[in-house]
Amino acid sequence: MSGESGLQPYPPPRELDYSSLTDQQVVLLAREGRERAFRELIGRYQRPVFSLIYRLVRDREKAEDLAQDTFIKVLNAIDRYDPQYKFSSWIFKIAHNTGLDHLRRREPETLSLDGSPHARTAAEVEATTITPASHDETPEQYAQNRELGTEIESAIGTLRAEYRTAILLCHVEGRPYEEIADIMDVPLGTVKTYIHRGRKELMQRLEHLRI
Amino acid sequence: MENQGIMSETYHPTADRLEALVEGSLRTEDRVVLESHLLTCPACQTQVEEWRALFSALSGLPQFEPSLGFSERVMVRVRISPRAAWQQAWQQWAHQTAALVGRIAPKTNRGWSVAAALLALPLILGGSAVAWLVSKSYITPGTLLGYTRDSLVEGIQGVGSTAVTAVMQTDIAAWIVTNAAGFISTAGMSGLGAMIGGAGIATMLSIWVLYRNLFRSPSRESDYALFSL
Repeated sequence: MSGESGLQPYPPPRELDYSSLTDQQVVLLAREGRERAFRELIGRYQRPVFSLIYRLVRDREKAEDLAQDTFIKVLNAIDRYDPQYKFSSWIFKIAHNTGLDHLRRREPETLSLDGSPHARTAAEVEATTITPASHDETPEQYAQNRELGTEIESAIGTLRAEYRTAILLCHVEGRPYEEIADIMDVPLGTVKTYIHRGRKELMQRLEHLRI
Repeated sequence: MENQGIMSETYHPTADRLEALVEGSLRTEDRVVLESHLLTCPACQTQVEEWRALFSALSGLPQFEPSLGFSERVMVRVRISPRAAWQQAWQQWAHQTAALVGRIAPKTNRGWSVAAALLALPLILGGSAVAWLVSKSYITPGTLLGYTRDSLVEGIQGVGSTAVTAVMQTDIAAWIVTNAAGFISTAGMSGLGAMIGGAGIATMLSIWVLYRNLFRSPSRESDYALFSL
């Protein structure tokens, strides 16, 4: 089923190329009980959802738990999802709310590429270390970017949660302002204010790293 | 001057305007003015480069990978319950119908106004015809209603709907016709016009309620799911 092209029957599961389907099409397949469709949705959104929550809560282990909760909540309610809305907006909305709920219950830790400063054992260091998906820089570039990355990640970590979410959804996920407003459930003008103030604070905090 | 608002007193653009320039959200005329200023102002050029560096750094932030087995840990707790064949067929029919209605329904307020006017047209024409007939001296509201009722009964009998015919021949139906005739006799043409006008307004209100609930764009506060999570 597709909101754009009308209804057409789907070929048998093993003939489908899930990667070529839209989110709405995959959701409708998931509603039919196709496990492959569920896994496709997880595959598409595990990194962006985990990244958003990780940068919100600043704790890898907790971020994984919260990201899992987000997916479980979304996928168990897939029958109630309204296909006229973007699936990405729905899942980001739930991820944002899940992260915010956690922040209201605890104080976040400092994020570091070298692991949490509060880690006491090698296992804890590894558990609290950011693992970027990939980086292809030369050793010199890696060192510079690692430092800049750490600085900017730390600067992002000092922002208010709302500013952080808006900045991440805008710059990292590339969402338009209108969709961010839907995700955060605030007016469009508020989103623009969050992003503008977030950027200004980042500029001030990164002043010593003029490029 | 039209573009004075983007500059401070010393004719340097504000930091907000430089940010908007890098973001690409300035109007064309403002952007042209700013860019011409940048050609001769190293200080503002530096600020723009700093904004560009920040934007670039933010856009270059990596997406992090959860640990191995994340997908499996999620799937263990997901309930997969395939729908029954009849549920899928029903869902498919509902979507087909909604898609069809969406295609033929008007897309603009003007279109809806035209559709409502077209639907109200039979009422207006019918009311005008009744008013014209009643204006004839040899036609009274009573005889008109009686003729209408008899014609209606004959027509319904003609298509074989004996049940509806029986209803029309009941005391209740006769009561309605009698009282309607009495009302028109009492209220006259103005009363008849008011009845027709009221029916027309009710029809248009019904169409408006239907439009708002079926085709109106959802508000930002609406849940994405049909029920809250």
